[in-house]
Amino acid sequence: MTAKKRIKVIMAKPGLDGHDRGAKLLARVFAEAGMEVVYTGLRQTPEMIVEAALQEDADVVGLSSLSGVHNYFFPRVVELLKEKGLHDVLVVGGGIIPDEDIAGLKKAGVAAVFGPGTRTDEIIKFIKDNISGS
Amino acid sequence: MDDLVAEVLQGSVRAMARLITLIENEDSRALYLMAALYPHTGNAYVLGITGSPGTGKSTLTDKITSVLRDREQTVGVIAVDPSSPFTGGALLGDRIRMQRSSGDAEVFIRSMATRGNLGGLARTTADIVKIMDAFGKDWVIVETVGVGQDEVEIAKTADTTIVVLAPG
Repeated sequence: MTAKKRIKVIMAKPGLDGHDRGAKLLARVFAEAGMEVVYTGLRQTPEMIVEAALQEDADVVGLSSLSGVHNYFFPRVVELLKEKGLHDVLVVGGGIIPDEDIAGLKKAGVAAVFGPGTRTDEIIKFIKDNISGS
Repeated sequence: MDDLVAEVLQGSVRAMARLITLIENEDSRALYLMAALYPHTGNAYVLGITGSPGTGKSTLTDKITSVLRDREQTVGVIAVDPSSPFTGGALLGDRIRMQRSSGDAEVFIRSMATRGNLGGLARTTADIVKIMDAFGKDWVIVETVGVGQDEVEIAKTADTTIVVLAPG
């Protein structure tokens, strides 16, 4: 429990979508996996999410969208992170994301997209395997 | 490492965020870094906000921050939440109630987990206050964990401590 680097995660809901059961569930799952998780709440702009990642010195930004706005918001968050010099932040997404959109999101810099039914231990493993400096 | 301190003093938010992480992790260079920053501290007014869970500490922090911003003061906020004694992880939810401030670049909000420390603060919270002070924030507001009857450690760190109670 003492001096030890802990994985810090920002969980965010970009846009006007109010469905945060999944984001809240994962926030708890990540905390139970020993991570420190900041949940930003609903209706975040990409600017707010990136400002939170900057101030919290986050290792991971988790984006959840169930309203079909992922093709705009997810790449925009990646872009703003880079603008702020946060090149080593792992961005992952989830929610209702059509399969045909996943390749485009990955190309835009979203490291992984986890849809409904994904095993939570799989997501935790992906994060632990892919964050920088660990 | 000296660069990091220099960058903080020059107003780099990124540098401040990284330095806070180093101090929070009790990095071996922590003492050296804090020594370099210390001469630049002592200017911020430190406000502690404590009270039982659910009484409105985060909401009050957000409102006070907004009043201070109207008066053109810069603000740093440290929001402390408990770590799980079982897993060491933490759910830091104070930002949810600080929406008004979180869109303002002059307000630096940092969530901290207690990492096993008792008393309502993390062991390194007082050092994080010093970092925000040295950075040049006019005010540093520390919101403690929701406390019970004797977690009053904040009173040693803050210039003024506010105890938030539920009516009734």
